[in-house]
Amino acid sequence: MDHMKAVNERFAERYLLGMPAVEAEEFERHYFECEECALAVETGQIFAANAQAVLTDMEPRESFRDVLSAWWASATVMFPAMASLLVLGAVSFYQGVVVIPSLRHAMGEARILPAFHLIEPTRGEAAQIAVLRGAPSFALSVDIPSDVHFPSYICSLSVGGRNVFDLIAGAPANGQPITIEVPAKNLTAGTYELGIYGADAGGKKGERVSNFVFKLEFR
Amino acid sequence: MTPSIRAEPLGSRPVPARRSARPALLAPQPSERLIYSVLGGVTGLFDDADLEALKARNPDAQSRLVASFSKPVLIKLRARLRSPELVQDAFQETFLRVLSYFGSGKTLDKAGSLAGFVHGTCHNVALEFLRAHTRHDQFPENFPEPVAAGLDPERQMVTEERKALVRRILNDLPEKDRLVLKWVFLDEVDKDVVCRKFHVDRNYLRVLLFRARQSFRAVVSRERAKGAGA
Repeated sequence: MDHMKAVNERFAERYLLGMPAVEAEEFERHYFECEECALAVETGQIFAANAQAVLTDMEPRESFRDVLSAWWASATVMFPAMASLLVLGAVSFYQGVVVIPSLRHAMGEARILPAFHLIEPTRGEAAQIAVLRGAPSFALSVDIPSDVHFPSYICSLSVGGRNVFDLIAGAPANGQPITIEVPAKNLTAGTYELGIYGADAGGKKGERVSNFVFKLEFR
Repeated sequence: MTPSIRAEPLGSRPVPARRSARPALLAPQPSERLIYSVLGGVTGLFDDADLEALKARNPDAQSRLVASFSKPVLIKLRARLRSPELVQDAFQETFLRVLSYFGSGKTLDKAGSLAGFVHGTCHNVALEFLRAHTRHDQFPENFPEPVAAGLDPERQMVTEERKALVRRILNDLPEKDRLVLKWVFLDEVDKDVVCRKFHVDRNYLRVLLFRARQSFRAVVSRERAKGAGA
């Protein structure tokens, strides 16, 4: 190989960066005879080895914060997280601007509450309760027999053997009923049973005081 | 006559005479050139008398041979074999074979063929080492690291002083060029990928490396001159 060709075609750099085996061997034969090319390759090798060491030192050591930032910045986390935040923000905004003010407004205003007084069936007939479709709730009131005195009572509403709710009510004043506000939203038409149980001071369910059966309808 | 380059020492380990590996027998290539020419001027000479001296196991001739060829042998082995330990072993094996060849009473037709002969021997040794060591099983996880040899020239490739000079050169480069070198040397990314990533061609890589190498050579020379002047 001609030395000028090796210089002009930057064989030293090509050799250092990787060249085809045949060419590499040809150049190796050359630098075994040519001090200048051997020196060029040697300088390049030393530069490369030291550059490798320096660049390794320059590599930032990843702290936990860096790892966390990288994880956060990764597409698989970033996009779903941003989408979730966006949805959460929209929901919060809607609740803050529309739902909560309207609820506050509704609570602060007088309104008509459909109320029904239940009497224990005497001839096995269930009482009929008709609630307007769309009404948020209705009230049920029941009398406690005058000879029964418990510190509190458990009101248990069920339909077809499935419990709808249990509610602890304090003992009412003498001659006053227990009044329960029942949310109508999740109720369907059917025959319901409201059992009143005595409870001790700790709220432990005792004997049944009375049982009311009613048919609920929506109009 | 003195060779024009300062020879790298044979490391902290001299060529082991106890090895009995047979030297590679290569057909000498006819050449009128003697070794070591710089820009056409012959600066290092091996003549027929030197070949005779090698045949006679003359220690001076042997030392001159090692001194003259240690640099090209080392750089070829560094390029072919990755591990510094392998490079050292292959380096010693190469000269052991060359000296054994002459020591067994053989010689070359022409002194000008000596460079080709040493190159051929070095090439064979490199291939043999590569083959032998890629066949080996991987070291177990807790295998003890080889002990670093303080005077090993392979380990002296990277020194704090050189690192400081290279750091200065790298810091002077534009960010893009520094990244290109990082991808090439540190991350060892395929050159085509580097070119595509940075929108450059192979020639850009060569020129970049050429300039970095020239700068490095210049600062090393300056530092040496300063050191000599002090």
